[in-house]
Amino acid sequence: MVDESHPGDDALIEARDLQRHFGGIAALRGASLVVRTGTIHALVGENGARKSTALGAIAGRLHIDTGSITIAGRDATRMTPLDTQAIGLAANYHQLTIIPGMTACADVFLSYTPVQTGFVKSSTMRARYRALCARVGVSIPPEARAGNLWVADRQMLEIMRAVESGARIILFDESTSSLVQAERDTLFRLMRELRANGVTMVLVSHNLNEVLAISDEITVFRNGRTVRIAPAAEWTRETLLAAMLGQAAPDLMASRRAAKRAAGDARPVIRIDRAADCGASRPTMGAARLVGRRL
Amino acid sequence: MHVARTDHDTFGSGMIAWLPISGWINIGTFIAGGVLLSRTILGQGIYAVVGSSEAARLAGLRVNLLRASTYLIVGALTGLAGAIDTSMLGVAQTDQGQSLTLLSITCVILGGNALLGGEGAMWRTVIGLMIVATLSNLFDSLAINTQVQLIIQGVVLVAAVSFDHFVRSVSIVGRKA
Repeated sequence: MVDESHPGDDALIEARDLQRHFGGIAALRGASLVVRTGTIHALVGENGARKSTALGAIAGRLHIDTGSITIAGRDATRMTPLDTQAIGLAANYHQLTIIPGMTACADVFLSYTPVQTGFVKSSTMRARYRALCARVGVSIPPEARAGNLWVADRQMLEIMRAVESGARIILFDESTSSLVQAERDTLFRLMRELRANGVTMVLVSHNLNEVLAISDEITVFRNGRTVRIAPAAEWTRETLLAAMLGQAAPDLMASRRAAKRAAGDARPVIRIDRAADCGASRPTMGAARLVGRRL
Repeated sequence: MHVARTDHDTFGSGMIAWLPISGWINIGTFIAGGVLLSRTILGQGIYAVVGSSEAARLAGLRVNLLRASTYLIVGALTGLAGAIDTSMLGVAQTDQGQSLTLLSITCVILGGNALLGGEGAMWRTVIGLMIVATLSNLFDSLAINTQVQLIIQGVVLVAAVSFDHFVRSVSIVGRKA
């Protein structure tokens, strides 16, 4: 049930009927994405819904088998990252593209190094880097080796690279996944600033609350297909979950309530006592679940 | 193949001021290489492509052009080194300079450059070269067999790579609270 009542004539990105196979596996199965100029467009879906594949196709990272991609009125179906960059698109990919052996400063300016007759203008670059750090609220030393930084700092470097690029379209593929709340807030402030300046953004995120809070329109993918494109105001957390999972939201909420009720009586499944005495110098425990799924 | 020209050895053994011509060429190459790698857009691109070619491609760099440029520069410098070696020895053979491969890799790694590339600096190679040259002179003065010298070079190389790997694996920059 693809609702295409909102694409409008001011679409900056139009990706239609995208199909892509990896070996014998169908990844994209006719997905479409229409992003209007000057908006923040969220793309959500379960893991494996092929959100990143679609963004990769738009950015030129990979090519689709069939379908069409138009960016700013130009056919971008067979473009490379270099080509899409030339028409003003910057992408933050799910897999970080920071070069580990370079300095933080050089990594941020990798695509847009200030030069004069082939020579890097190091002082200009460092001054711009410091200003950018102040703008996004981080304090990563410019000479720090990027590969030695924590993942969140590397993610911030990617975001800084996209912001510094001056692009008119920015794709954020799970750019908030490693960030703490304060950094997420800073990123969203930046995104609002950029939107006010006419920049169009696509955000992929599993955090539905932040998606509903920041975006103007939301597209839901499921199994490589577009389920629905609609303005954010028309979505709720429950309808988003239902569209992502292909199940009715009331069932999900009922199961959640039942789980909460049961939690009062339930005996613990895993119990860890005196973790510090277990022998490991820094005991760590992790638990994960798919958004919308019970653990 | 014997080189018949009498002035052929000038390139490898001739002197300008107090230094052999090959020494001047060496210094010039180090300075030019250092400037190219650390100060130019080409050098940055080379570091990026060798560090992660996929990341460089996604960042919009012309990866194939940068690769071709690197091979071109390295090929030209290898040719220059071959010409100097031939001039110093006065003969040219197809398998000449085979032992120089291990020697040059040892210089690069011993100076602290990454084995797989992507990070390092020209001055580090200079330090590596000095260490290797000092060791080589020491071995010669002690009249150590060439085969044994090669074994020692290999051991030094393995130790340097292991140390480099250890240092890189434990070094993490702490982030702000």
